[in-house]
Amino acid sequence: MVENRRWLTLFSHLVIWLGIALVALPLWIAFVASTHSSDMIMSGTLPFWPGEYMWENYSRILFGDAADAVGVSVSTLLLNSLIMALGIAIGKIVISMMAAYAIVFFEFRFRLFSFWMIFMTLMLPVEVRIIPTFEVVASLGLLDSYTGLTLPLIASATATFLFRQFFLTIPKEMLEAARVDGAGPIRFLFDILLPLSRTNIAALFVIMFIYGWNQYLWPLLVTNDENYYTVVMSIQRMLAVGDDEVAWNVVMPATVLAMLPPVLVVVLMQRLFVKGLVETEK
Amino acid sequence: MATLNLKNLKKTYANGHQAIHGVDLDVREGELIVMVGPSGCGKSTLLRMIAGLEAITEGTLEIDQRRVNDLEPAERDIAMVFQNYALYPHMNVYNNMAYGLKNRGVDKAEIDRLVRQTAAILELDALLERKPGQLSGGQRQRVAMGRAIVRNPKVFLFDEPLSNLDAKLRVQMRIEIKRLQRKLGITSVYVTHDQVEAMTLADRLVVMNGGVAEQIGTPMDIYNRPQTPFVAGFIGSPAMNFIQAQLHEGALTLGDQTITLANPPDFNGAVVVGLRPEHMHRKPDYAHQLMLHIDLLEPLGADTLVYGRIGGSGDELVVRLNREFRNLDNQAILPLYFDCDELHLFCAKSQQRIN
Ligand SMILES: Nc1ncnc2c1ncn2[C@@H]1O[C@H](COP(=O)(O)OP(=O)(O)O)[C@@H](O)[C@H]1O
Ligand SMILES: [Mg+2]
Repeated sequence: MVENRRWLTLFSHLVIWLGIALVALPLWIAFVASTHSSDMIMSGTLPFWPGEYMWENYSRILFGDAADAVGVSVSTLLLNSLIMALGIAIGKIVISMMAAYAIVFFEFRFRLFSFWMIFMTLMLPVEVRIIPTFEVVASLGLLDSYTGLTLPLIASATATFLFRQFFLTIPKEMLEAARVDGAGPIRFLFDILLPLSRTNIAALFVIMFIYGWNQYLWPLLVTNDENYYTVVMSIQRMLAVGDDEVAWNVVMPATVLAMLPPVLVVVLMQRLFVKGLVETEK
Repeated sequence: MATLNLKNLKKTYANGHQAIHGVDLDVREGELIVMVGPSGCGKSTLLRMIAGLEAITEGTLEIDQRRVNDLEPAERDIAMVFQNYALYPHMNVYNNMAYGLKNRGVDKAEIDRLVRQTAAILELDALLERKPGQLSGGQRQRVAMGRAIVRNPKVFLFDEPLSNLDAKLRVQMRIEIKRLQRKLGITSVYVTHDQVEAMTLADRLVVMNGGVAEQIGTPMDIYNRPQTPFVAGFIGSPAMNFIQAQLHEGALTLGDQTITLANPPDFNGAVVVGLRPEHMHRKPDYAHQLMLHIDLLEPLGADTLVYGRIGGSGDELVVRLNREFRNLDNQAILPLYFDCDELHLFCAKSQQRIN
């Protein structure tokens, strides 16, 4: 039995490491490629260890123009992406929390109808409604603006639904106790609902930040001015060089940089998750 | 201290269900009123109407002679203790108690003084920094009480505050609530379905049934002179025995035996006779006798409950005898003695007391 178990342990570890290698290898290759000169990469054999061009490659795209096709630095692109992702994540959370608050805690005509209307938009992701939405944004003169980048993506049936489900688990007596304690609707929202939703908000923030960060089609459509380009869509621009050789020493560091913020958000928020989960009250 | 007046209060829910059919009640200053009744009789509804959590369909509610029908709960100056406590899980004990005061704009130093003073009364001093999740059931119950007391409201409302506690703690807290209420002298309305809790706590009892207050009176009044079979059966444990009988010219026919009443009511016809299990005895010191055919014994320690029926009647009876009774001689028929003053007579038709 003991012998048996040792082999099992060995085997499971093998599988785990294989899995890790499978996921991590491309990332490693991207990183390694971002530290070599263009010639080196073009020569066909990519070394396994990082080269000495790291500083040069990264500083070039961070402080100079990213590429011929993209006339701004990657720092600008990152900033744009950050604004867009934060705008979408925070906007979605605020809007959907308020919508769920109204639907769960207030009696009004068409309450159920409103809920179903919101719920039905789940069936309409950005890609499906992209042409009409573009029309609207264009005629409002919101092309090439942060508003145009974020606003149309803010409404979120998913987040509204999640908040609604959470709010429904809050006992009715909690609201009543707050009413007896003299808390009106606004105080109840800020003093009680908001702190209780902390973990939900953190989870949604992570999901929505990454969703916003990874938007590709929408920024591609609504931006012509390079100053509003986001990093994810710009990588595609960097690759679209026609017959010229792709500047891998530019694309790869940009890719690595584009991956960092989502990772950072997950790592930072994970700590809040765990804290929230540990503190969860019965 | 405040008075509380309910004048013909009625409640119809949005779905058309009428939960309260007109209740009148005048609560005196500092009085502890207990509303008791089976589940679904409308106790919580009535309490929530007093609290302002449920709109009043008809009638008038007054606190200190002032009509408060249309005031928000916070404006009525009441405090409520909920069955599940409804503490704010993310706030510590201190903040749970301070929240209502903060919302009223009481200044920080005063809040601190009041919270600490209340915590001392309830022996919560050591727990002020804890969150509700880190407290036992009894401690949460105390915090819920503290949250109500700290505001020094005009009226205290309790909705089955002890029903989530275990039996031992329930008795403890019951005594503590009574003591606190006496000490603070705050007018209180307490809802429970537990008749023991009701009897022990109440200055006056309101026995509710189907959205009506069937009887209002002191616990002993209600125990001694219940006005309807419902009240008679609800108050007292084990429940009162009921026997279908005929009353004619002062002679009461119970199954195959007839009793001549000492003070007969002016009534002839079908009656329901109520006789409490504790009012039937084995010693022949009482005027009347009936024969019980024993079915079953239930020894409770201090007492033994004897189940059986009387000849010529199908009604099952329960009798509480002391623990010495163990039916040693295996007799199937037991003579029992009682006083006809202990009989409760109700008209079978109108279900009202007649003696
Ligand atoms: N919001 C509501 N809408 C419709 N009917 C209700 C509502 N709340 C309670 N009821 C009904 O009113 C009656 C009294 O309820 P309640 O006051 O909670 O009873 P109790 O507290 O005495 O058990 C019950 O029949 C219940 O089903
Ligand atoms: Mg109830």
